[in-house]
Amino acid sequence: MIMDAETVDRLLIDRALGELPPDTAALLAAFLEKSPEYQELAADTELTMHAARAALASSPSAELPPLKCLPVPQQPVRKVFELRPALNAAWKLAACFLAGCVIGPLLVSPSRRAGDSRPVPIQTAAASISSEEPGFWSASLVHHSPVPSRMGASRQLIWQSPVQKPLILPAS
Amino acid sequence: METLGATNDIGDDSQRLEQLYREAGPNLLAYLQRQHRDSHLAEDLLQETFAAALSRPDRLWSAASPRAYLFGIARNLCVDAYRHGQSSDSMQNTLESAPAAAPDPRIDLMHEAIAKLNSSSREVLELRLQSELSYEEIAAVLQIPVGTVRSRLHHAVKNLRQTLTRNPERLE
Repeated sequence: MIMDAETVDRLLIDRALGELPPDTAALLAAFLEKSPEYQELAADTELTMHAARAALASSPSAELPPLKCLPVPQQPVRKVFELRPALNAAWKLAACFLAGCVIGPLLVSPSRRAGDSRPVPIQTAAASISSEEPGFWSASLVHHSPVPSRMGASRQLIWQSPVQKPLILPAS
Repeated sequence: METLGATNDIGDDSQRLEQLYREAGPNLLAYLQRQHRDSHLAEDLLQETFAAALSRPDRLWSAASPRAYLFGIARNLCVDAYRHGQSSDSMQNTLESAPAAAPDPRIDLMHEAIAKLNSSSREVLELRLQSELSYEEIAAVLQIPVGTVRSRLHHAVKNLRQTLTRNPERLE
């Protein structure tokens, strides 16, 4: 490190401000002993800092008031009912309802929107049923079907109406 | 158990905070009193400083220097108070209205020289000589690099030394 005037000046100021490490301060002191040309600068710097400290020290003395803002230990709080979340939920529900009222009519088909509520006929294919054969769901198929063999041929079942009990007659 | 642990943490925080208040409080209060001549406002700002620090205790305790962190908050509160017109004195003009009659002519001269410094150099000088903050702490307070702190201090000390050495007639 080259000890030019600028470097010595920086070191002197740092030393006067108390920011020079002890080993560097010792090296600087040794250097100043061998360099009398810098001793006047060192003395002026120390004198300046002494005067500056004295000038800035003439401030009003401060008496410390008690600290008022110490933290208070927090106790566990049991949540019973919180109004804010309930209100938030109510607002969301109301917003959904209003959105439904506004958007819903826009999604209905134009004919429904005009009040046309007549039933629309549904066309189906015609069934081909011959007149000789009774249909699968025909009542005559039930009435005139032969009695199952479990009942034997000694009885005859006559079922005149689905809402009445069938008549069981001996076979003629 | 968690609640008990949290309570113990807060108790530890309270003890640490009280210790920090005892250590840094006088310097902080002196700093605030220098910025605002109103001692009641300075005490209020001191309480606000600690209240603000307590609102983010993790930042306070994780800071490299809690003292510098507090000075940073105090400085911001001073600026806010000045902007909102709570202070009758300007932060810039505190030294210009410094005590006029000092027994030592060197200190008088130094008052004038300090008042003539630009605000950034003067602020750094005050933080070093009055609040006794290190270069690193000043850098943290002002949120500037340490090298900038060093260069501003060197600039200030050179100016003061020049004033002192070029006015020998004032010192007689």
